[in-house]
Amino acid sequence: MTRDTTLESGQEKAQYLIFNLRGEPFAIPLLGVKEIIEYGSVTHIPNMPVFIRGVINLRGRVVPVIDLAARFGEPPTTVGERTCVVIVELQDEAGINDMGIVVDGVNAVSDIPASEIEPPPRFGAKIRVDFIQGMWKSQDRFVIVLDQARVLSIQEINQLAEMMEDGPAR
Amino acid sequence: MFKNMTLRTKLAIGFSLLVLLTTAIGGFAIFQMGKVNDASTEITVNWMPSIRHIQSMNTKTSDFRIAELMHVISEDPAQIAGLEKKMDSIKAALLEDRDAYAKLISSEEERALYEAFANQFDAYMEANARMIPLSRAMRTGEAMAIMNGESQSLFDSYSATLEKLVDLNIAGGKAASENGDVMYARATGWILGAVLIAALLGGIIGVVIVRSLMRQLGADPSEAAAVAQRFAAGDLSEELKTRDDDASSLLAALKTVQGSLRAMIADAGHLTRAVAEGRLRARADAEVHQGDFRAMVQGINDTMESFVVPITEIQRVLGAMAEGDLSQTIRASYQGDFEQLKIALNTTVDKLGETIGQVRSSADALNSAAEQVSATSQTLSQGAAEQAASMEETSSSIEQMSASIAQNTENAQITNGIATQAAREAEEGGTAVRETVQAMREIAIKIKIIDDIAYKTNLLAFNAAIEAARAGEHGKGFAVVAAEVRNLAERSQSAAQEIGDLAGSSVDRAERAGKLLEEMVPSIVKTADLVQEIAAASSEQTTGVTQINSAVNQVNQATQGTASGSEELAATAEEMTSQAQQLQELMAFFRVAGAGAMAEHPVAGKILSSPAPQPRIVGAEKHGPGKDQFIPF
Repeated sequence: MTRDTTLESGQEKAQYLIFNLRGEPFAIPLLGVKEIIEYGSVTHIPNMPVFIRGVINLRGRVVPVIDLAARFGEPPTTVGERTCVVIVELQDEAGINDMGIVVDGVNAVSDIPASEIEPPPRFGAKIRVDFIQGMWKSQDRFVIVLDQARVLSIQEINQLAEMMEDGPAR
Repeated sequence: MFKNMTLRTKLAIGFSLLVLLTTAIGGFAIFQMGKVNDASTEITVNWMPSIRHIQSMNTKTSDFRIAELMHVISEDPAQIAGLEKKMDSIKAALLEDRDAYAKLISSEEERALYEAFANQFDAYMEANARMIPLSRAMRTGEAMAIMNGESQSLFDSYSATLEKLVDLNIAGGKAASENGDVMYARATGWILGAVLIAALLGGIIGVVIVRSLMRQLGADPSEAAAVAQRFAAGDLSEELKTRDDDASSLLAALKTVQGSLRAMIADAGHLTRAVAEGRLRARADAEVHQGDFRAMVQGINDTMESFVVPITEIQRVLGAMAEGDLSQTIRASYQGDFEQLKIALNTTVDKLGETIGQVRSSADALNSAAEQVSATSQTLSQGAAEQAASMEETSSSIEQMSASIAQNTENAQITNGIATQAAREAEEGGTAVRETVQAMREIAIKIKIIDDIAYKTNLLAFNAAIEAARAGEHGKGFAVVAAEVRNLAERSQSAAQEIGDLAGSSVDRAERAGKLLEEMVPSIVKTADLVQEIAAASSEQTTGVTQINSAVNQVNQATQGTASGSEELAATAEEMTSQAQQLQELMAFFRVAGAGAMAEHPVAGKILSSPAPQPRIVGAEKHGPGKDQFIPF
C-alpha cells in the first residue's frame, strides 16, 4: 500500500489497525498486516541498533522485531501483559519481507475514510515528521497514521545496523 | 655429853669412826700383801732365771764336749771346719748365759762357786785350745789323750760345780717361798683382828644411837608419824601406849595433847547441844582447861552469854505483839548484828503499827468507795443495754448491705459471662471475614483467567479481521463475524474487569470489617476484665461486710458481757462494803503507839518517843475473799 493508492481511493474507506504505544494511539493500514501474535520468545541479537529487539521464529521463518518506541527515539518498550507483536509485510526493491513491530496493545480495527485523514503537522509532534502519513481524529483524540514504508525502511535499518558494526550504536 | 648431841652429830661421829676403822684395816692389808708380793717377786726375778741359765750352761758344755769329740774322731776337713764353727757358736752362747747369770748372783757363797766354775771352764777352754790344732793335724792319739785326761777331769769338776749352783739356787727359791708363807699367815691374823674390832665398835655405836633416838621419840618414828597424821585428820579415838617412866618423849607429849583436846571437844559439844536444844543458860567450866584451850572454852561461854540478853528482850517484845500490843520496843543497845536485829524488830513494830492505822482508814475509805462503785455499776448496766439495742439495729443494716453486695457480685459475674461470649463471637466474626477475604481473592484470580481468555479471543478476532480484510470481497461476511466475536470478547473482558474491580473493592471492605472486628475484641476483653474486677471487688466487699458483721456481733456480746459484769460489780460492791466493816472490827484488836484513829478503841500500849503519823491511804489493800484490787478514788 502506497500513499498514491490511498490518495487514489479518494472518498473510499480503508481499514486501519489501531494500536497503543506509550499511551498514544497509532494506526497502520490493515492490508499491510499479516497477523498479530502475543509477545514472547524474542531472541536478542548483539551489536544491533537499540530499536531492533531481536528475531522471532514465526512458523519456521526468521522475522526481525522492531521496537517502534525506540525507533521514535524514546526509551524502549517495557513488556507487559498486553504487549503484542504485529507482523507486517514490507515491499521494496528486494521483494516482500515480513517484520514484527512491538506494540503496547491492539485497540481496534477501524474503517477510516481517506477524507478524514489530515496532513501531518509541520512541528509539535513527538516523532519525526516524515514518519507520519497523517492524523485521524477519532471520537475524542487524534490517531497518528504512520507512514509504514518510511518507519520500517529496510534500507535505513540496514544502514543503522552497519553503523553499529563500525562503531557504537549511539 | 653424848645425850645432848643432835641426831645428826651422833650419826656423823658413829659413821666417821666406822669409816676410819675400815680405812685403817684396808691400809694394813695392802701393806701386808706388798710383803708377800716381794717374796714371790724374788723367786721369779732372782732364783728361777738363775736356775734356767745354769741348766742352759750345763747343756751347752755337754754339746761343746760332743762337738770336740766328733772333731777328734772326724777325718774330713770339711766336717772339721763345720764342727769348729759349731763350737764357736756354742761357746759364744755359753758365755752369753754365763754373763747373764753373773748379774743375778745374790750371795758370797754363790759368788765363790761361780768363780770356781769360771776358773775351771777357762782351764778347760785352754785345754781345748791345745787339743784343736792336734786334732786338726790328725794327731788323734795326742788329742784323745788330752780329751780323756786333763779335759775329762776339768769337765767333770765344772759339771759338779754347776750342779752345786743349781742346788744353791733351788734352796734360795725355797727359802723365799717359805718367807712369803710366813708373812701371809701373819697378815691374815692381823687383818682378822682389825675386822673383828671394827665390827664390835660399829655395833656399839649403832645401839647407842638407836637407844637415844627411842628415848626421845617414845616409839618408832613411823608410829609417831602415824599418830600425828591421825591427829591432823581429827581422829583422837586411839589410846596411846607409853612406858611407865616416860614423861618427856614425843609420844608422851602427843598423849597429853590428845587428853586436852578430848576434854575441850567434850565441853564444846555439850555447849553446842545446849544451844541446839535451846538451853541458852548452860555453861562449861573453863578452869579445868589450860592455856589457849581455856581461852577457847571461855570464849564459847561468852558467845552464849551475848545471845541470851537480846533474845530475852526479843521474847518480851514479840510476846506483847502477840497480845495485840504494838507499843513495846527494845531500848537497850547492843553490838553488830544484834543491834541490827533490834533496829529491825523496832522498825517492824513501828511499821506494823503505822500500817494497821492506815488499814483502818483504808477500810473506811473502802466502805464509801464500794458504795460509789455500786452506783456506777448500775449506770454502766443501763448504758450497756442501750448499746446492745443499737448494735442489733446496726447488725440488721449490715445484713441488708451484704445482700445487695451479693446481688452486685452475681450481676457482675453474669455480665462477665456475656462479655466473654461477645469476645468469642467477635473473634469468630473476624475469622469468617478473613475467610471471605480469601474467597474474594480467589474470585479475583479466577476472573483474571476469564480476562485472559477474553483477551486471547480478542486477539483471535483481530487476526480473523485481518484475514477477512486480506480476503477482500470474499471475506466480508467473515469480517462481520470477526467483528461480532471481537465485540463479544471485549464485552466479556470489560465485564471480567468490572467483576475483578468489584472483588478487589469487596476485599478492601471485608478487610476493613475484619480489622474493625479485631479492634472490637480487645475492647470487649477489657470490658470483661473490668467486670471481673468489679465482681472481685464485690466479693471483697462481701468478706469485709461479713467481718464487720462478726465484729458487730462481738461488740454485741461484749456489751451483753458488760451488762452482766456491771450487775456482778454491783453485787461485789455490796460484798465489799460488808468486808470493809469486818476489817474495821478486826483492826480494833490492835493497840498502837500514839493516838491515831484509836478514838473509839482503848489504847493499852505505851506511847513511844515519836507519835505515829496520821494513817494515810497509800495503796491498795486485799480484804476478805475478794479477788479484785481497787484503787481508791
